[in-house]
Amino acid sequence: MMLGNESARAEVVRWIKDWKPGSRPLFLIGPPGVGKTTAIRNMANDFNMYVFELNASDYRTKDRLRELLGNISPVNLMGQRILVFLDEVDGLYSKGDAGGVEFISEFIGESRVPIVMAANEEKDFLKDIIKKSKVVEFKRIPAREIVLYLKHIASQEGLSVANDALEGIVKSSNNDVRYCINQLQALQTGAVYKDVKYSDEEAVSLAMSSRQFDMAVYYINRWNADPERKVSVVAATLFYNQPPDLPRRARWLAEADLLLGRIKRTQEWRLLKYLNYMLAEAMSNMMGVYNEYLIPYTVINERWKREIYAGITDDLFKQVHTDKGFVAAYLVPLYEILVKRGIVVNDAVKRVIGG
Amino acid sequence: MSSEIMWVEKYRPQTFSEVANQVEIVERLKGFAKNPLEMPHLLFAGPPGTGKTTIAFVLAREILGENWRSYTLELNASDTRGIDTVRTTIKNFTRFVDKTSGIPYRIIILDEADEMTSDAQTAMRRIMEESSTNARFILIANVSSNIIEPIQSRCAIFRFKRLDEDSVVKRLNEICKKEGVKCREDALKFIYQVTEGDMRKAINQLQMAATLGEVTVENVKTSMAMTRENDVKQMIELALSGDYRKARELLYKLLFIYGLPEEDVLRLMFTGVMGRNDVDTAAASRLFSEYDYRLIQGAHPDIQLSALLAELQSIKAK
Ligand SMILES: Nc1ncnc2c1ncn2[C@@H]1O[C@H](COP(=O)(O)OP(=O)(O)O)[C@@H](O)[C@H]1O
Ligand SMILES: [Mg+2]
Repeated sequence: MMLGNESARAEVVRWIKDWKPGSRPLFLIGPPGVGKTTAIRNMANDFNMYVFELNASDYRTKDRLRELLGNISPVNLMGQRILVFLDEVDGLYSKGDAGGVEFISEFIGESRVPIVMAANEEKDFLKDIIKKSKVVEFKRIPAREIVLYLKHIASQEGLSVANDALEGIVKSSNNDVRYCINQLQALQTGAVYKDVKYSDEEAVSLAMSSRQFDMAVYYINRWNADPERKVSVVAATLFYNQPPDLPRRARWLAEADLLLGRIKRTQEWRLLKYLNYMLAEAMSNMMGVYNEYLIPYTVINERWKREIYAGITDDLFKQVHTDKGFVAAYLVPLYEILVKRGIVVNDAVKRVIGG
Repeated sequence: MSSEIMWVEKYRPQTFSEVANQVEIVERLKGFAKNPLEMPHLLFAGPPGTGKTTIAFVLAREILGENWRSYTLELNASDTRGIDTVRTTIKNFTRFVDKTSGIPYRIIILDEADEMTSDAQTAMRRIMEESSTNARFILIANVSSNIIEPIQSRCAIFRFKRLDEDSVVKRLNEICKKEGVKCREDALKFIYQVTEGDMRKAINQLQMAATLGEVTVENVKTSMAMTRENDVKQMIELALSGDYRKARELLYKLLFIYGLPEEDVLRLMFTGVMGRNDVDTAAASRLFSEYDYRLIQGAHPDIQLSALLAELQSIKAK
């Protein structure tokens, strides 16, 4: 069952029924959580189509998009027609997705498969794409309807929630249905099972999708991990996603990490109660995906070099009367050149510098 | 691997006459070498690469003779020098001196003494007072104010200044002659400019450039791009231009692959940022002081430095 935007959804169905190679792509515009993504997934389901989806959690540079979409075939191995769905295209910002917009603009002109795009806003850089598309607008859903909908879900799930609690959720959500459902589940699980615990991925994902700071705190409090792990995973997720307000969030994370360092040093564990608030500030209300690896994978791949560099640094350090920092920053690079030029022979180092 | 490979060590002065530029200091110390018993504990303070450690070694050799190493205890920042080391290693070393060997006392050279905790310094102060018949301390520091007051007042303080252009260029010239390396005068002056009176850096940059052939301004520039200092500059550039992902990759390379100590990364970042004209330097110094403090407090260095990189965006000059 879906809520609201009936005529918009009908237009979506009409578009796919009429689609043939050369037809305009579909462009959905509307605020978050009003059912754009769900409408597309339902439609694909009804028409037995396979949805190839790319959203803000994927890299969408020109090269990456060309690689994924350049030669896409109209049917998959199961014989299903393929539908390309580019969700959250207004998030194609900054250098991270360099050239993505230009690629899409060319691609939609010549595509052999139906393409749907969705965005929250008509960003300036999307003008050209929008001009070439059939635009369908999704509107915010009236609060009254959402409350009814939540009641329906609650009764189906056998939950009892007070009316004013539901109204409170809807009010704070800015009429975002997806968010309301999340909150409903969260409140209810919290109330029914007092000790509900979330895994790393659940806690972080839920905290990110929490619009309200308090909800993010709620999830991080019930996150089943030690403080060390929490700080590390929040850091990994934050740095991986690089939200537009990264500096502000990074500051909260750094504060949390400092607090943890102090606690470990002074053994003042009572200070721990502040940690979750700081982590919630770093995570709440952010678009992104879970990631637990702090070290960038390009660096992980070069991990084997670490030991070799440590070896040279130690050897040199023993022979010169100066600090380790100078050795690592200036003497080791010199040593590398000496090896490269054949003035010094050291096979391990040669392998590292690829000479 | 032999230390002779690295010119900074190969051309470390062995006698007072080889030391460049520090005439007044050397003259006073020569006096102590003549009358060792008149020598108090010493504190050498000044920027890196100005000859503090070198001169301490030369002085020790002048006073203790060829076997100076047997009667000298050298501890630098990479040795553990907490309060325990002071109470055991240092204390034991100063406990007695074998007068039949003909030496006046033993010498303890504490490099980077300003990095010692104030607890350890306080413990040391007692030993300095009680052992003056058996031992002399030579403390070496970049900033003398990080040495606790009671120790300062028990030492003769020698302030080292950055070396001037003439003496660095002269020394570099001598080295080139001995190595049979061709060099241009303007290139040597250029090395001086970029190393700002730090002889250690200057000699190292000279050797890097010399591996490329004749020492020319061009070759010096090329070799400068090979140091990690340059990597740090590049990392800052990436962070400020918004390519945070690449900047952070470089950070982890510096920390995890090249093994740079985190304080050094922070220090190089600070110098790099302050050398730019597109950042608000007042805001930068406040930001860096916060992060420096956090590292001292035992936070995770890689998380802190990643956060600092992210925050660089916010100190761009408006
Ligand atoms: N005044 C100087 N005269 C000649 N060489 C110097 C002088 N100062 C530094 N150097 C060179 O720089 C290197 C580092 O010097 P060092 O005495 O360890 O510096 P500091 O202890 O002041 O940091 C030495 O090996 C030497 O080659
Ligand atoms: Mg020194």
